Amino acid sequence: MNAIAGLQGATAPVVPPLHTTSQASLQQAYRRLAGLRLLVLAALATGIVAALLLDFTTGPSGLSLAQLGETLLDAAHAPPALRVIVWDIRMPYALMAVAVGLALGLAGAEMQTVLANPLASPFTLGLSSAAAFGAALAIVLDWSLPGIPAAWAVPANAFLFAMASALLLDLVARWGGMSATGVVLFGIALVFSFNALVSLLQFVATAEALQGLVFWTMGSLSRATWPKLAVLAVALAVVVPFSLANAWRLTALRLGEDRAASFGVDVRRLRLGALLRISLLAALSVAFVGSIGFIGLVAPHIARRLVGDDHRFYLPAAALTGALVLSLASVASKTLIGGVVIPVGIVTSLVGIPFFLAIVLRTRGRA
Amino acid sequence: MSAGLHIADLSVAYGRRRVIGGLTLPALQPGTVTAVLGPNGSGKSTLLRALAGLVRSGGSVSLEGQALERASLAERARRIVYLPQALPAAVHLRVIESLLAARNASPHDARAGDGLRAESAVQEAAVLLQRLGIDHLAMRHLDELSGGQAQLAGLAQALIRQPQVLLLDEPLSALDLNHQFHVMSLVREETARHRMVTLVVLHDLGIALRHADRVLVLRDGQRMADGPPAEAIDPALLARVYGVQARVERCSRGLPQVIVDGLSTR
Repeated sequence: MNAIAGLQGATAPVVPPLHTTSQASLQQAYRRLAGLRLLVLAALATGIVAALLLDFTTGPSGLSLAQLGETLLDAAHAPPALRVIVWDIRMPYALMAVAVGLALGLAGAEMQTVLANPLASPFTLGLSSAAAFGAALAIVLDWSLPGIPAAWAVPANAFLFAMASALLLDLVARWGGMSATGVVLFGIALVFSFNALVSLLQFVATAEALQGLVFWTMGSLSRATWPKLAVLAVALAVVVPFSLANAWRLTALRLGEDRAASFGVDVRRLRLGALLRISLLAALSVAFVGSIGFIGLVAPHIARRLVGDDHRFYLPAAALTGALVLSLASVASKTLIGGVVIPVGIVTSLVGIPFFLAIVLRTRGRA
Repeated sequence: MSAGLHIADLSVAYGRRRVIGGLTLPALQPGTVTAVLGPNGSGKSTLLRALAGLVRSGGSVSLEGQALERASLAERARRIVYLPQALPAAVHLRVIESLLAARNASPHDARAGDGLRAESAVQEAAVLLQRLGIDHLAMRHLDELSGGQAQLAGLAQALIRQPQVLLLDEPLSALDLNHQFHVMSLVREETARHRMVTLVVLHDLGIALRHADRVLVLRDGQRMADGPPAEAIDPALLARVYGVQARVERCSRGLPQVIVDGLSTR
């Protein structure tokens, strides 16, 4: 009765807040936080530069930093062998690792947000497998959409199938009323289905086509070339501004679909745009280097730990983390077994699987 | 005359199931809090979601004489904010960041998100948090707040958008006594201060009697009662809507209280 009597007269909270932070100090605290996050982004970028230098100088044929510098600065006077190693092999290879890492990190981050699922990534939910199947169709059966030039058949097919499976996932997530776990299971079903289809194509493929196909299933940077790198760079240059322009909307979406919609976010359009961007990045990555696993899953989680869910920081952080991780994996793929370059997809999978399990176990604990 | 929120012949169906059928209400006035009451599945949340434009609805809704049916989502969102009860798990945002996101989410918002440090937005958020008495939570993560604190943070997210209509879906469920009172008194204060039309879905009749200017009682998507709480809530209504035998009695200070004696025999 006393408690009720106490409540009757009160209009303010009965227990005052423990302490009040003044507005000025709150603004200062936020400024500090934003500054810190910019610093994290800068640190990641610096890390990538360091990893790149390491990647340039690592490989079956030794190369010192000094030699690298000379060849980079004055290519004309460098020994031809060195020039070929640096400009035709090491540079596209190492830069491709960074570009693909950026693409997969960004795609994974957007995917986890729009599907509201911590286990979402192009690799885990079947986009990469779908893209690989599309690419395999072009290689083995010469099938592609009418009107697509032959040179672009592989990436075009990869994009088509990646997009189709992304839309399917979106449909299942929204209309099927599926839980987060349901969506992941559906994605895994997609992975198995497309892998089986790729195997089928392998079975009927000619020996020559088969060799090309095996490359996809492993994920390797060894086919990186300057033109491919340029295409991926252009794709990133187109996609990144759109992603960043949607940063506030994506952040609001983290608060829940209804809340975001009530804050004026056209959730359906936002999701569709994001899936389009994700499919483009995932498809190009797969078309050029095969399906490299777990970067798109791991990078967003590390980024979230580093800078939180404010997508103005989170998206760049996820992209940069993806680049850093893949660049380091590339170095590892050249150093793990002396004199042999193992496909980088094997390295990322070996590193990624324990991480994947950790996320699964943590998500289960929460639910 | 045309002030406030007008609802005429509002109907909502999920597939073939009609959830709200032809609901017409006298205007909901600015500066007043209306409690939306009714048993589970009576269409309370659906009503709020329809007003916010989150579900398709028939009939007409107008605000200050302007019809909202044709308004774009962004236009509607500038004037109406709906706050669902739940927050997704594992959101790695600080309270102040969630306010900035809420404020800057709309593409057609005239107040643009300014730069990475968002100076003026941060100031707005800081002022609001202090006014609500939760500035000490500003730098805390959403997923480490208690239920009551999260509800207060949600209220702040809604208020930073300076809506004309505030729709709160069960803001008090799972809150302790202190937070129930805290949230409701803030809702009242802010409603009066900004002349908002506020609708709150509640389950606790006592809170509706104490904090609401008006109650709207729904059952099966139909209006069962509508008016000042002390007049609208009576034993006959409680029997019809909730199927309980109940009395409405005044306490020693003259405030009405609902006392439930048992289930009504049918």
